[in-house]
Amino acid sequence: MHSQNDLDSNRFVIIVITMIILFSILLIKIYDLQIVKYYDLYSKSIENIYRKIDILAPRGKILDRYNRVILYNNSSYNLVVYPAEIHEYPETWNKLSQYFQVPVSKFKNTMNKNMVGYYFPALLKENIDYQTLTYLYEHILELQGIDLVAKPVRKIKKGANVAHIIGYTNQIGKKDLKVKKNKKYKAGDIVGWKGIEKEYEDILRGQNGTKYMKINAVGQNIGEEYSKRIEPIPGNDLILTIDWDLQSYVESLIKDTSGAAIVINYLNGEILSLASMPDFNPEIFSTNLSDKKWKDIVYNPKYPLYNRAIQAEYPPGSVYKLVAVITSQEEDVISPYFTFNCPGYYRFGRRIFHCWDRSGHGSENIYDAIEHSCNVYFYNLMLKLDFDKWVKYSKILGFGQPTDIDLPNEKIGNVPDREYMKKTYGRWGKGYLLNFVIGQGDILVTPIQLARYVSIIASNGFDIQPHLVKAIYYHKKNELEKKKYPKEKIESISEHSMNVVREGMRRVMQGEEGTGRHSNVENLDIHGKTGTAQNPHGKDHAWFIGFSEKPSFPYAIVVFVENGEGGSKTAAPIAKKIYKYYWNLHNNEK
Amino acid sequence: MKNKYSTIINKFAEIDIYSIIIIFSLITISLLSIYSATIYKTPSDSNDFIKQMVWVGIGIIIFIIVYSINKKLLLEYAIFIYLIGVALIILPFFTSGSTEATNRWVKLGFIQFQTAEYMKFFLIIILAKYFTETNISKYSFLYVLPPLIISLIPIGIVFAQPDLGTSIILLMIFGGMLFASGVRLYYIFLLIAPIITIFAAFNQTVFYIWGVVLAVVIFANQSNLLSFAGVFIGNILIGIITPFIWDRILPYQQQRILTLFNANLDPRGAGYQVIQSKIAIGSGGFWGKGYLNGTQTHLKFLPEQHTDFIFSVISEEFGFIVVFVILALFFTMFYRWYKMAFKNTDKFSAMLIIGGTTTLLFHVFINIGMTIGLLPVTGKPLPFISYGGSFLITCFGLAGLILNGNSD
Repeated sequence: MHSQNDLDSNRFVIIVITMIILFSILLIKIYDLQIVKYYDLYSKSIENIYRKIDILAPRGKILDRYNRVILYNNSSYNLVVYPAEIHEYPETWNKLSQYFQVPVSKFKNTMNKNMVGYYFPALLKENIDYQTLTYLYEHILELQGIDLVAKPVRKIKKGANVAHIIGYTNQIGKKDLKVKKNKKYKAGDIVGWKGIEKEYEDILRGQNGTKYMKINAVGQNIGEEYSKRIEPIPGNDLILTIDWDLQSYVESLIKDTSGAAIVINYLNGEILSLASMPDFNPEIFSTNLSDKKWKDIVYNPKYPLYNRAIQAEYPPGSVYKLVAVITSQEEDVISPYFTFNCPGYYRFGRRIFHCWDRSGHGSENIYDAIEHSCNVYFYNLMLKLDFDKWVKYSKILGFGQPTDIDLPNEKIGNVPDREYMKKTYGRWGKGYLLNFVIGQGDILVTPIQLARYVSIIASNGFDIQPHLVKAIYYHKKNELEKKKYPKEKIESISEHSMNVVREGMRRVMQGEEGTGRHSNVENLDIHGKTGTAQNPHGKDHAWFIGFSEKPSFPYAIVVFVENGEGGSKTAAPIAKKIYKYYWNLHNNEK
Repeated sequence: MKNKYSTIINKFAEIDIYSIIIIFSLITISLLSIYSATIYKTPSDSNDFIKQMVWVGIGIIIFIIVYSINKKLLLEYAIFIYLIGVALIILPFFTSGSTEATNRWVKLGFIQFQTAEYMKFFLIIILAKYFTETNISKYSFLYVLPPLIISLIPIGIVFAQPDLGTSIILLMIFGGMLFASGVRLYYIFLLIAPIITIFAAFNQTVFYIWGVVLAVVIFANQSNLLSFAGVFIGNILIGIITPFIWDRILPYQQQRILTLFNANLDPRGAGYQVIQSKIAIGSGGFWGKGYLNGTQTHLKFLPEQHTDFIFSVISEEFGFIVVFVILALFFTMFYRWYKMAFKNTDKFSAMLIIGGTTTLLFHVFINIGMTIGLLPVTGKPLPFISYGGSFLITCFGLAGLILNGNSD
C-alpha cells in the first residue's frame, strides 16, 4: 500500500458543495410537504381513513293526474368487492366461488374488468336475488372484502307500459358523460335516456349522498362515521296530466296495431293519454338487460323505441283539408254556400284527379265537402287560393314546427312552401297543390301536431301547448309547483272560419252522410274529420281527429293507424271506443 | 501468528467510532419503523421485523469480514473479482428458473439474491485499482476510456435486466470516482453532453441554448479545430435524431418512458404510490403523528411501505424533526467518509472510500427523492433503513469496505 495519494483537495470541496446542494433539495421539498402543505396533506390523510361510499339518491316518482303512483323505485342489490381488501383475504374468493358455482378466475376477471381503483369497490355481480342476498348478509363477516350495494330500479304500476311517455333510464353514455361532467355526473350514473325521464332529468335526478365508512388497519369496514354522513336528496316527483285508467285502456285498444293515439284537453293542452304502438316495457332497461332482449327491441322491424305520437311524420290526408277551409274564409275567397260540382274527377290540364268517390258527389258547398270529404271541391278551392296564404295558415295552425310538448326528440313534419318547392322540384306547377290541399304528397305531420291543430279548432282559436307534466313536487321545499303553459288566442283566425270548420266537422260525425257517422257517440256532440294518407309502399295510413263540444267534456282525440287503410275504417272506430270509455269513466270519477 | 491477531485487534481498535454510532442510530430507526409498518399486516408479512433483526446480525458479520480483508488482496484480485461479477449478472439471462419476470434474481439452492447488488463492490474495486495504477495522464482523454468501458459493460447488462435504478447507481459510482480522481472537468462534460442533448432536443429553444453552451464549452477546451467540429457535430446529430426516433416509437412505449421520468402520469400505478407517499410525509408535519399512529401507514395507503417507502412511514410518524436528524446523520457520515478519502495517504484506499460513499449517497438521494415526488420511482431502497436482506448486506459491506479503506 504505497501508492501515493495525489487527490486534489479542491475536488473534495466540490463534492461537499454538491452534497450540500443535494441534501438541500431534499430538505426544501420535505419542508414544503411537511410544513408548508401540512394542513392540506393532513386533511387528505384524514380523508383516507374513511372509505367514501355513495348513497344513491332515489329518482323522483311519477304520478298520474289523480296522484296515483305510476313509476316508482325498487331496490336491486349488487355484489361488489374491494380489490385491496380481498387481496388480503383470498379465501373469500373460494367461498364466493363455492356459493355461486363460478370459478375463481372468472370472478377475478370480472373484478379486474370493473376495477376503478385498488381501494374502490368493483362490481362483481348485478341483481342479486333475495335468497342469495340473505345468505350473503348472514355470512358477511366471513366474506371479507365484499359489500352489497343497493341500487334503485324503476318499477311501473301494473296495467300499462306508458313507455313512450316515461321513456327509460340507463347508465350514462360516454358521450353524455363528457357533456354533463360539470353537472357532477360520473361513469355508471343513471340518467334518463328517453321520454319524461330524459326531458325532466334535472328534476327527477336526486343528489347522491355520501357515507364515510371507517376502515381499520387491515382495510375492513368497522362502521360508519355518522357525523360525516351526507344524506341523499331524493329526486323530485312529477305529477302528469295522464289519466292512468284511460292510458291503460288506450294502450290495450291499439296494442295490436302500429300507430298512436292522443287524448288531449283542448282547453288547456293537458294530455290525458298518449300511446304509441308497438311499445316496450321500460322496466327492463333499469335491470341488467340481456343482449338478446336489447336486440329484440332495437332490431324489431316495427321500431318499438320510436314514439309515433311525436315522431311519426306522415301525410295527414283529408284532415288537412280544413287548412284550406280556414284559408278560404279568412281571405274571403269563397262563401261557405258557394258550390262546386263533383263529377267524381277533376281535369287539370291533361291530368285527371279523382275524387275518392268515383261516382261523384254532385253539387257541394263547403259543409258538404267537409262532410263527404270531397276531393274535387277542394281541388277547385285550392286553385282559387293563394298558395302563400295557405302556407301561412298551415304554419299558424302549428304545422312545420314543434308543438313543444315536454318530450325529447319531437319531429316537426313538413309544410311545403315556395322555397321548399323550388329546392325540391325546381320548376313546379299547380298540379302539386291539388295533392297538397287534400293532405297528400310532401306535407308531413305528426300526431301531436294534429292534436294541437284540432285543439285550436275545438277551442275556437286558442293555441295551447300540449303537455304531460301538470305539477312538480319539490321534496326540499315540500312544495307543489303547478306548471304553467302558454295559451294564446290566435288573432289572425276569426270565429267565423272556426265556426265553418266546426260545422263541417260536426256533420262528418253527426250528418247523415258524414264519413265518420258510424263512429259517432250520442250525447257527446262529437266533431271529427277522417283522413287517409296514400302510401305508395303498402296499405294507406288512417287518421282521425275529433273533439267533443260538450262543455263538461272538452277532450280532443287524434288517432293514427299505420297501414290502417282508411280513416273511417280503422282510426275513427278507435276514437269512438275511447270516447265511450272515457265518458263512462268521466261520469264515474265525478 | 500472534502478530496477525494483534493487527486485526488493532484494526478494530482504531475503527471510526462515529461511523459506527451513526450506522446504529439508523438501524434503530429502521427497526422501529419496520415494526410499525408491519405490525398490522397479515401473518405472511408480520415476521418481517424479526427477519430484519436477523439480517442486521448477518450484516454485522459481513461488515466484520469485509473490514478485516486485506486490501492488498483486493488490489491483486480486482480483475478476477470484476470478471466474476460480470459473469454473475449475465447469469440470470440464462437461468430459466429466475423467479421474477425480470432477470434480476438468481436462485442458488435456498438463497435467492440480487446479483446486481454485488456488482457495486466489484466495480468500485476495479475502478479503484485502475485509478491507482494507471500510467495514462489525467490530462489526456485516453485516461477516461478504460474506466468508461469497464463501467459500461455492467451498466448495460443491468439496464437490460431491466433495472434502471441500479444502472444509475453504477453510473454514479463511475462518475463519482472519475471526478474525485481529478480528471479534467471537460472530459466529464463530454460524457454528459450527449445525455443533455437528448433531453434538450424536445424543446427547440432549449436546444438552441444548449447548442450555444456546447459550442462555447467545447471551443474553450478543445485545442484543435477538427476535434472541436467532431464533438460538436456529433452532439447536434444526436439532438436531431432524437425527436425523429421518439416519433417512430409506439405511443405505449413513449408512455412508459414518460412514466419513468414522471410517475404522476400514471396515477393508478407508480403515480398512486407517490401521491399517497407525499400525503403520508406531509401529514406528518413537524412533530409527526406519533409512533404507530401513522394512518397512511397503517391503512396501507402506502405501498412497499417497509421497503422502498420506509422514509414515508418515518416522516408520517416522527415528523420533520426526525427526518431532519436522519438527513443530518447521513450527511455527517458521508462528509466524514469523503474527508477520510481525501486525507488518506493510500490512493487505492481513498478510491475505495469514494466509490462506497458515492454509492450510498446516491441511494439516499434517489430513494428520498422518489418518496417526495422529485425523482421517478425506481425502487431503490434507503441505506440501513429499508427492509430487505440483500440491500442491508450491501450497506454493511460498503461500510466495511469504506472503514477498511480508512484503516492502515
